[in-house]
Amino acid sequence: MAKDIKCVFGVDIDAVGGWLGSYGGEDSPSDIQRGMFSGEIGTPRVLKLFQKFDLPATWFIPGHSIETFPDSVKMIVDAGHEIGAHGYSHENPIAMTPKQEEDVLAYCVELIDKVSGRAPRGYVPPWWEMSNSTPSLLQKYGFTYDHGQGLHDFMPFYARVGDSWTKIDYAQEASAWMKPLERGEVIDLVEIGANWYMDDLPPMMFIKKAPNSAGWVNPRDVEAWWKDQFDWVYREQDYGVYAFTIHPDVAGRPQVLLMLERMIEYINGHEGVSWVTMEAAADDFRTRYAYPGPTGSPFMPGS
Amino acid sequence: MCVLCYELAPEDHWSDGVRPGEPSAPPLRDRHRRTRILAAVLAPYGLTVSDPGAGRHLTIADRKGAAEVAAGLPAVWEAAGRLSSRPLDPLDPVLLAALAEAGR
Ligand SMILES: [Zn+2]
Repeated sequence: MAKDIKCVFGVDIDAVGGWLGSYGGEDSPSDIQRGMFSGEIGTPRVLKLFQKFDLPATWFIPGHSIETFPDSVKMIVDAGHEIGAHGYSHENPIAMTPKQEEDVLAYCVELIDKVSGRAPRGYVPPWWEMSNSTPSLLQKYGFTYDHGQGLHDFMPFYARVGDSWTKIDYAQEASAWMKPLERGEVIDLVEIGANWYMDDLPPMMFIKKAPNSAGWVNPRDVEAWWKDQFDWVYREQDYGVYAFTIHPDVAGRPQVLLMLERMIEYINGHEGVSWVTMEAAADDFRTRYAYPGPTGSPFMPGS
Repeated sequence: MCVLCYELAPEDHWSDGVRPGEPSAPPLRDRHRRTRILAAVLAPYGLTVSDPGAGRHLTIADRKGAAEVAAGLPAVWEAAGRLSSRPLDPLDPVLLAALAEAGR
């Protein structure tokens, strides 16, 4: 079987929205300025990188970034990249009421339609957390894929929702918590697996308000992890989707841009790899493995 | 002061109260109980607590990505006041309701 490893750049422009919703920067002018850097300076640099190698990419843009950086967003649209949804102010989906979540999603779909002429098909939940209402909202608003669940890494799968598990409560008898996880329902939404080890932000963005924030990892170390993951996938799988999750907040910095150039050149040195949008990867997966129904396996046989 | 981490953090606070745990209970048991009550008390302020289970530190976080590590209850209440932008008032009716709920 011929190798077919699809490589994808998912780019989240967290920017100011990220500092408001997720990185504890709402009271810090310095953090907000870093968000401005992401939208105004980092984004064009990352675009230029993709142009240099003639790669398509999928940009998940929070509504806040669409409205704050119209020029950068226009450059992305003009370059023919795909645009997906990623919250408004990078809100945590599990902290919102169902109404708040729908209001955010509906408005962001409208914004993306307006700037790109097409409603988004793909979604990245901020924090990679799906609430109980997220799946039905995604289906209602016409999404066909999501990049947020972590059930698999380099093989797409169908989303499963409603898994339930029992927390330990030391005030109870042990029998109260000795219960296995119960799997929920598989839904007709393709997942391009979310993978923290393919994300540039936790290792390389300094976050003042997170007690465990590093942000000072050498990009050459990150490059080594990413190459190791690519090498394993390339050796073990004939088909797979190798997806990066990057942020212009981080990837727009010189030390990361140079690392990404080396990564792209490394991957391009292999037979049977192609660069596609996330939507193309998700659509291609549907032709390989059709939705199996709510009780079917989320995973393609053999994966 | 802790000789290992050189941290000046008073442990005692009236809110630790009188522990009703059984005298023979394992030491971690009271700790889990306290963390559970803290979680219930902090929830109405939009905050969460997580306990690594070792050392005296707890992590108090809001839902927008800000978090503080706090050693001992006085530090917990100070961190919670900063993170929620309002001092925690022991007579706050919302807090009292949360305590009643947690005590059930
Ligand atoms: Zn994000």
